Amino acid sequence: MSLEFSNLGVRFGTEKNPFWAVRSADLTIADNEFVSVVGTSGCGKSTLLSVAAGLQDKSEGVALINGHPIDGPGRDRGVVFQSYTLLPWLTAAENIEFALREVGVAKKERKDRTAEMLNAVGLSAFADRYPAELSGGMRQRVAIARVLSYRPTTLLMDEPFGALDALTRQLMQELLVTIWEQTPMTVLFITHDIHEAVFLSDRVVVMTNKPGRVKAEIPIELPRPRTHEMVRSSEFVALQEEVLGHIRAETLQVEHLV
Amino acid sequence: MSNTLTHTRPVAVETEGPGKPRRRKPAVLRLDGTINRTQGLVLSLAGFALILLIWAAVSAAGVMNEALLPSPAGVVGRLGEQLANGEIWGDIGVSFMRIIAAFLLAAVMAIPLGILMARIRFFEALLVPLSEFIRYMPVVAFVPLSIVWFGAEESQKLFIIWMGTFFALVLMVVDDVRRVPRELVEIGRTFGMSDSRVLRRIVWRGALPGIWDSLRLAMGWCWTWLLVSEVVAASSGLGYRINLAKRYLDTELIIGYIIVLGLLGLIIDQLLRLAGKRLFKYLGKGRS
Ligand SMILES: Nc1ncnc2c1ncn2[C@@H]1O[C@H](COP(=O)(O)OP(=O)(O)O)[C@@H](O)[C@H]1O
Ligand SMILES: [Mg+2]
Repeated sequence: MSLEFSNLGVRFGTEKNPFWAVRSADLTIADNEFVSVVGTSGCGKSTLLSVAAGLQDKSEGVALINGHPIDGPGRDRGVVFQSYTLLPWLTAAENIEFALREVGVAKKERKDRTAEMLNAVGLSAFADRYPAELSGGMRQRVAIARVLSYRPTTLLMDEPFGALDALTRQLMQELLVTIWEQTPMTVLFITHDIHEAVFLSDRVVVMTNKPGRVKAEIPIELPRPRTHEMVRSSEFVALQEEVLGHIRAETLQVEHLV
Repeated sequence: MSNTLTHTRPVAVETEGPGKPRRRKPAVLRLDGTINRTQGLVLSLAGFALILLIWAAVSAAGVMNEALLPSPAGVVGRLGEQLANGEIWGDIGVSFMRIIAAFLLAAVMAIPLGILMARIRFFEALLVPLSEFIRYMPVVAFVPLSIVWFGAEESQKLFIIWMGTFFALVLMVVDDVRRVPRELVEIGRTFGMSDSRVLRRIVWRGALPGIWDSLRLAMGWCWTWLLVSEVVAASSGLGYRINLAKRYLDTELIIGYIIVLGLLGLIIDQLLRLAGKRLFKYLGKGRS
């Protein structure tokens, strides 16, 4: 499925004192394309994702999924947040079954799919653990297993690995990229980690602050499958530098360092 | 909710600083220190023993008229009589039924309303300011009115206890429900769940541990308002018995019943706490 935003605006605050979290944003994501959005904190990345998910109403402009206006959340779009993603009173398996039931998967199919997805993220042995008994990385793996279990055609991820330690994050990136390369989906991936964005994506989009809009788009023409060895290539480093260049000026400004 | 006496944080290895070796305070006295099970038990009992000792000493010294301040032994003896003649069980039973009825009424109203007030702006605007206002009206001032309205009937007690708990409870439920992370609600919506389904299957369930703690507190208030309502107008119950004893200057019974009230409150609270611990085991040790 394709996602398309044009002249998108989201306004918070009052009529008299409006605050535009996103304004005049244009972005198109092709079917089965993996696009990352990077930008300084507070530049409107999460707001953009919420509009795509149908969780946040736009104030102006156009937001389309497969050519149709986005009107509320839907089972075609799965979402993964950074934290508070699992229901604490349900085990890992129950969390997945809960989602399957709510999206309307038949009862006899739920168990099989849950087992299959837990296996895919390497957590079969942890099926009966509660979220509080899982590490941060495991929780996000369950969240990913859950969202993939009902087979959405678009994946919306808001800094899903942002709260993890560096090593776990790297392993999660490799897991995600492998899954995506096997079963392509349209992905909108929010992050503030430039390395992560370049490693995963077909294209990296840089957003600017106040009001949030799309400043630059950098195609990432690294070969697939992506491997961990690639990150040391001069090509990878150059791409990373390019993205950083777009963000750096802005960050200096936001942090009042210039 | 971690009012346990046994913290098992590792104690730092004692190192000697430069200069003269410093003796460190024992761990039980240190800021954020530690305590073991035995120390905890001994100290807790010592607290009770201290009060009992002071009481016994004052009454033995005879500084106060024995009719006004009876001895601990006298109180125990009087309670023994009440147990023997069975009167106390009737008093507890009547009072207990009143508490349960009023508590359930308050809870059954406060929980659904609190959920709506916390998450749906319409109900928030309509009912939160109102509840905050009524909450600050002194409930005691409603007592005369309650007698005018209901007489000395059961409904009068129900009204006073409900009045004393409902408005504060509903606001606490609102806070508990607001603490359910927005992400959980949004995740539910992405599964295609309706608002009412999200409220029932995610918000209510997610707020339950917090609501449980609020209910425990509300149960405590119920005892206070029960006594207020029984002392002013009743022909049965613990408060009625205390009020009756006042006429005969039966201070042994009054103090005995006050202790019984404290014990009952404590027992119920601990039962609720233990039940909560089992029900919400999934939250792990990190539960605050
Ligand atoms: N519900 C809201 N009400 C008011 N302001 C909001 C709301 N959500 C986000 N904002 C503001 O909009 C801006 C963009 O937020 P967000 O999209 O979360 O940024 P990012 O994800 O890039 O850090 C921020 O300044 C934030 O404070
Ligand atoms: Mg964000």
